[in-house]
Amino acid sequence: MASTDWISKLPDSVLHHIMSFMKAKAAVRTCVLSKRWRHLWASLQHLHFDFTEFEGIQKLPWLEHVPKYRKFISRMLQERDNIDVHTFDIQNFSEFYDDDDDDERGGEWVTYAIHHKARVIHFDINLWSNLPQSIYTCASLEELHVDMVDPAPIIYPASVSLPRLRSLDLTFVDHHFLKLVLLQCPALESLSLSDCNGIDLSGIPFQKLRKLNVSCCTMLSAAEELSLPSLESFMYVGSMSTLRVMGIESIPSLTYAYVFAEEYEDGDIVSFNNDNFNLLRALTNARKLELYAFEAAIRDLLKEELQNCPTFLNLAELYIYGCASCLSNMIARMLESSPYLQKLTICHDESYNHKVLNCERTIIKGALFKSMYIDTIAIEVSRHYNTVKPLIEELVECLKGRSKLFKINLIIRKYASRSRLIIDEDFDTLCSSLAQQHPQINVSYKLIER
Amino acid sequence: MARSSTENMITLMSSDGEEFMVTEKVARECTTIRNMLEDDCVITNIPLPNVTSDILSMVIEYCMEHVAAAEKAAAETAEKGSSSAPAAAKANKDLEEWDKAFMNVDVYTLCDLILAANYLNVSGLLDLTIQTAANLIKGKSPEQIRKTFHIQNDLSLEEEEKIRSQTPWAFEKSE
Repeated sequence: MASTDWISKLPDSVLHHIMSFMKAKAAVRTCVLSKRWRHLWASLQHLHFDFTEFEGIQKLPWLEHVPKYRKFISRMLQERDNIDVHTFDIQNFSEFYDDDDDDERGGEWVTYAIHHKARVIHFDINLWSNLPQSIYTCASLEELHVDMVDPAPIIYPASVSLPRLRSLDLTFVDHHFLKLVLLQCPALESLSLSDCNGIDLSGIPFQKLRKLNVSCCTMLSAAEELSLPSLESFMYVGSMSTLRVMGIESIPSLTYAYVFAEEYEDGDIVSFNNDNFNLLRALTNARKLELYAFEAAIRDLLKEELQNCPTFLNLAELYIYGCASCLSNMIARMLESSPYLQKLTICHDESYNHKVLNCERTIIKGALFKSMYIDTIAIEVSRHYNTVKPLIEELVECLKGRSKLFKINLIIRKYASRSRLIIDEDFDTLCSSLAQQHPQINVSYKLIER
Repeated sequence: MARSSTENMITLMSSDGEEFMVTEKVARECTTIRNMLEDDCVITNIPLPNVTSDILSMVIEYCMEHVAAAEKAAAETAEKGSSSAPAAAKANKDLEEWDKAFMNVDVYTLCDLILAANYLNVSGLLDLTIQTAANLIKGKSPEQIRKTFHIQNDLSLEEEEKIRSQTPWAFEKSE
C-alpha cells in the first residue's frame, strides 16, 4: 500500500488549528518536516510559550536555559509574519524572573500582542512596572490572566476600557486598581482574584459574572450587599473573617460552590455575631457543594447555622472534608435538609480532630432516608481506615432496613511507607461479613497510590 | 432510524452517490447543513460532493451518538425535575469513552474525518479529531512525526540544514 501524505493535504487553517494545541517550540520545529510545513509556523496565531520546553532532558540548572527561552520568544515574535495574534501565553517563567532586562522585554512582548489584536493574554511575569498602559484599553482583549508569584509595585492604569473582556485573573492587586479596572469591564463573566489585600467588591456591577474565585485575599467590610445576579460558580479559599464581610447575602443562580475557609485572623473573632452573614443561606441554591470543614471556625459557624438549616432543594452532590466524627452531626443535618441528594462524599482526615474529647458521637441515624435518591456514599481516608470503621458500621446499621441496593465505597489513599499498616485482614473480614448479612449493602474499598 | 413519525427526514448524498437518511435533528449537528436548512426549509436532499460514503457514515454515527446522549440527558432532566449531577457526570464519561474509541482509526481516516468535520462544521467532531492529531504530534522528533503521518520529506539534507541554520533559536540543543 502506498503511503499517502494525507495530513499535508489539509488546508492551512486546519493545520494551524492542530498547531494551536502545540507549544511554541514544537510548532516552530515543524518547519523541517517538508516543504508544505516550511512556513506554516510563521502565520500561527496561537502562541504558547512554555519554559518547560527549554529545560531539557538532563535538568541542568534552569538558569542556563533562561537566555534560550528569552531569545526564542523574541526571535519568534520578530520572525513570524505580521498577522494578528489570537492567544499569547507565557508559562512557567516567573519563578526565576528577576532581572530588569527581562521586565523590559516582557513589556515589549505584551505590547506586541496588544498591537496584534490579541484576544487572550496569559502571563506569569512580574512586569507591572513595565506593563504597557495600552493593555487597559485593548479593545480586542477577551481574556487576561496575570499570575505572579511575588507582589510587585502596582502602576495604576490612566484610563481603562475593556469592552470585550470576559475573563480576568489577577494576583497581588489592591482595591484602587480593582475599582479602576472592574468598573470598565461590562462583559465580564469570570473573575479570579488571588492574594489581593484590602479589597471591597461591593458596588461593582457584576451583571454578567458567572464565575467568581477568591483565593487568599483579605477584604474590607463590604459597603453594601454584593450583587451577583448571574453567578453560577463560587469558589472561596481564605480566612473566615473575609468570607463573612465580603457582602455575599444570596446567590440566586448558584449551581456550584467550593468553600475552604480557614480560622479567623488575629483579633477577628469579635464580630462573629454582629453581621448578617449566613453561609448556608447564601449557598442554598447550589447543585454541588464542597465544604472543607477542617478548621474549628467553619465547624462552629456551620453548627450554629445548622440550627436553622435552610432546605437545599437543588443539592445533588455534597462533599464534606474534615474529621468524620467531628462532623457527623453536621452531615446528618445536611442530609436532613437535602431531599434530592444523590451522592455524598466524606473525606475523612482525623488529624483535624483538634478536640478529640468533644467530638460528637456519630449520629447519622435515619437522616440518610430523607433523600430517596441517594444510593452511594463514598468515604475517603488518608491515614488509618480504623478511624472510619465506626462510621461504616453505623451507616450499615441505618441502611439495613432498606431494600434498595446501596453502595458504600471506601477510598484509602495509600502512603508508600505505611502501605503495610493500612489494610489488614480485619477489614476484609468486615466487608465480607457485611456482604453476607446485608446483601443489598455493598461495602467495597479501593486503595489509591499516592 | 426515525424516532418519531413527526420528525423530518433528510437525505444526505455522499460524493460516491450513496444516500443516507437521517433525522433533521442529526443533520442539524452539522452547522453547514443547519444553515442550508434555515435558508431553505423545504430542502430534503443534500448532496455532499466533498465527503465519501465511508467517512460520511462515520460522521453520521458520531452525530447520532451525540444527539442520543443529549436527548437522554434532557429526558432525565424532564423526568426528575432537576438534572442529576452524578448521572450527568457518568453520561459525560461514557460519551468521552465512546469518543475515545471512535478515534481509534488510522491517520488517513483521521485526516479525512478532520476535513469532513471542517467542511460540515461539526464543532465537537472537529475538536475531537484535531486534538487527536495534535496528541499524535506531541513530544515527537521531526523524523517520528513524518513516520506517524507518512509525511514525504521533499527537502534535501542541505535544504533541511539550511532551514535549521536560518532558525537556530528553535533548534538549539536542549539536551
